[in-house]
Amino acid sequence: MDGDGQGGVLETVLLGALVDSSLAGVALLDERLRVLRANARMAALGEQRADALRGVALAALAPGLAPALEPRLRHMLEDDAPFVETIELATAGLATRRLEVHCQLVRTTGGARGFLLQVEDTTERWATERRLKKSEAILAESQELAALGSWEWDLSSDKLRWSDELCRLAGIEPGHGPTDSWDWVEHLPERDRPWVKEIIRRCLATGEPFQSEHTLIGGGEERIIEARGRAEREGGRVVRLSGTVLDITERKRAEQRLKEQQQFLDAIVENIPNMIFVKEAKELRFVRFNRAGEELLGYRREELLGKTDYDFFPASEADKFIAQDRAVLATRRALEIPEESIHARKKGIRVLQSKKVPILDERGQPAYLLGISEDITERRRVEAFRLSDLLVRSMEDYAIFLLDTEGRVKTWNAGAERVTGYTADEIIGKPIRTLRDGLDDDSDRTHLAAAAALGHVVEEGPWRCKDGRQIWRVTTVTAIRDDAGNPIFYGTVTRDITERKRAEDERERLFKRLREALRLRDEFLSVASHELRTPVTTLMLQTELLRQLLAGPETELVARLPPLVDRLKRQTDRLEEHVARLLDVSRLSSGRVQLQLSDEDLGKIAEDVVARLREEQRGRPMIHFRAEPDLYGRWDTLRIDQVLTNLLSNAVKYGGGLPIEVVVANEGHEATLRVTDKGIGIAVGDQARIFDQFERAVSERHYGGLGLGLFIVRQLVEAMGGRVEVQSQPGAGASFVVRLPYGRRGEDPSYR
Amino acid sequence: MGAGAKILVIDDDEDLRETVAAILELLGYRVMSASGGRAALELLGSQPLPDLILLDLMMPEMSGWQFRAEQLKRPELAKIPVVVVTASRNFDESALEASSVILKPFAAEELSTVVKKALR
Repeated sequence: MDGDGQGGVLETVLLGALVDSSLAGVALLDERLRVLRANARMAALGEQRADALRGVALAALAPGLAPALEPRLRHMLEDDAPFVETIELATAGLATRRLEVHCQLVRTTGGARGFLLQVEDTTERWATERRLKKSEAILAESQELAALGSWEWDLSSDKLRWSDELCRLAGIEPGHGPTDSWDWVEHLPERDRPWVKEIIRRCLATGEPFQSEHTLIGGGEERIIEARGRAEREGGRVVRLSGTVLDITERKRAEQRLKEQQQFLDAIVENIPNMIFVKEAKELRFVRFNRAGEELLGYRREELLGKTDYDFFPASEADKFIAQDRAVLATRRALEIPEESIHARKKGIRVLQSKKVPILDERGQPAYLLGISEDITERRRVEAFRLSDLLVRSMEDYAIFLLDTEGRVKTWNAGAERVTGYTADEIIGKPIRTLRDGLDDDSDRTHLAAAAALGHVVEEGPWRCKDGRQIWRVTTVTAIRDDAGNPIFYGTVTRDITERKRAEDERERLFKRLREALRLRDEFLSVASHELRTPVTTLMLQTELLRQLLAGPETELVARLPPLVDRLKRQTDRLEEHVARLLDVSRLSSGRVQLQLSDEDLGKIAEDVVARLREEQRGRPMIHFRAEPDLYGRWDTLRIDQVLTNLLSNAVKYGGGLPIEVVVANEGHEATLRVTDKGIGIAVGDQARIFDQFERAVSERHYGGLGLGLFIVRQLVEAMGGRVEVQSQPGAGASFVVRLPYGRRGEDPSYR
Repeated sequence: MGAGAKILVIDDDEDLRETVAAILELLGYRVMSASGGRAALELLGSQPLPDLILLDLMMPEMSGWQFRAEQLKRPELAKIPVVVVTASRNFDESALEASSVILKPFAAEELSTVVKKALR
């Protein structure tokens, strides 16, 4: 700008002052874009001094602005249209500066043209605007994200304004929300309307803020919202209500889902048949317990929660549990316990299979201990039963079976079948009494009752096997009880002891025989002492008498001596006879019998004996004798004499004085000697034993003699190869028959 | 009571019975004798009662035991003292309630002593 003239000078000065004082950067350029004038602020853009700018090109004045401005300024020479260019400049401090350049064409009075550039630094303003915009965007975004709508109700105009998000929540195009008064109520379901209105009315009346949860109908579906509102007052009157609406549908649904899941989980935990418990990690107190756990341990959960194992179990048991828990928490690894026992309150000792699991918090520290225990007591019992059942079934030496409380057979093993002959099919369900068929009584019932009372009983007795055979067996009956102690079954183990019983019976029989033999020996000794001492006594007294007679007159001696001598002879004979018999018995007992055989007529031998006896007995009783003639054989005369003498003595002794008959006969290969009396006879039961040593049929000691006669007879007859028999009935006499092998001359008769 | 007392001897052994009787007569006693329990009871029923009975135990038909039991059942006989004569060393004499027992074999002197004592 040239200063030609006063007016021009003033103008220039004014302009200069204006330019210099401007807050904006101001530059005046000529048509060729060289600086005519620029103020300090403008100069600062190019980091130049203002007074040194005259004639400097725009590019030098503001290198950052020139590229954008130059084309447009030149264009303005054509169209004269002012413009505003916004230019962002990177500065030394890296902060971007935003400059707004207002450009216009100016003319001097001389008609010269130039450009007036005003540069305004809008960095701050722009940043503020941008921040505002950004926060609005964030608000909108966050409202959308949070599904947070908002509203205002201006009471003076009775107009309503819904935010975009609130519109979206209600399924309405943003900006098309309700605008008047209570119109919003339309967007609520009928059921919520009255009480929501009531809340709003209260707020209107009192000015108090409110909060409620209700339903909003949006796009055909219901959404749950959390509404908050407050009143604004002016001069004590409520003039405006405003509030937010938060869509909590998802949260509510999530909460509901969580609740349902929790309930579902609870239901599972509660109804699972295994005990489930949770202990807090620090002191191992119970914080959770399920029903199975309550039932197993016999405590209610109120009793359990907050307590530790020491409150419920024996110390040693609790020690063990706690040690496991600590190990699980320390190692942070689950522990499987295949079998452990626990003292339950009501059920007693139970066997558990357990798993203990550590539950860690978000930092990986143990927070809880989860325990799961299955009560495997019954399973173990069943397994044990199966095993023992298998074992029992396979046992063959013992009859093992179960009876029910009525005594009916429930199980039947191989041994039972082997022992009794009944198969399981035949006997199961039948009373065990079946095995006593025809034997005795109802004693099985007694045994079961005894087993119920005492635990177990051992009883012995007979069984009738399927094939009718009777066996002797010993049975152990054990009551098997339920938890309440009532018998539910009886387990029985039976052993067939028939053989043992037989051996015992045999031993008992032998023992009885031995005792009897001892009794007989004692009785024999008693009889023998009588038989021997009586003649000795007589002899002693006779000797005294003889001494007295010798001291008296001779006539009396002569008169009394003969009978005295007779007596002495009889008594000494008697003694000799007894002594001889005893010696015979001694020899016979030890089997030393020497036969002296010679050819004799049996009838003749017998006749001599009979004659002698008749003489001895002086004809009382009568002895009838009959013999077939010429019964020659090789006989031991002395032994046959002894046999017949003994039989005849017995016949005389027990014959009651009635006639006796002696018959000798030839019966084919045998010769027989028969001695028959009509005396007291012998009971059939006694007939076998009378031939034994010391035996006699009459138990009292009436009859004198040593009781050895028939024993000697049998021993001698048998030594001769024969045998002796008796036929008799009590009171009807007795008939003894000696049968001797009929040896011919030259033959050896002593065969057996 | 001494000489002149009446004694009943019961024994199935004739020789012994008669020998004992002869000895007792020599000692001055009056003697009755029976060959068994039954004969003795018959005798006691028909004769004046004896002052003492000498009883053998081991006899046929009615033994000394049976006789003694029968005797004790009859009040008129029960009080007659009895000397049991036996060879046995092993029996329960208390059941017989005998005045004394004389064991076979015995000599005349022993018989005399026992009988005197029993009659006292």
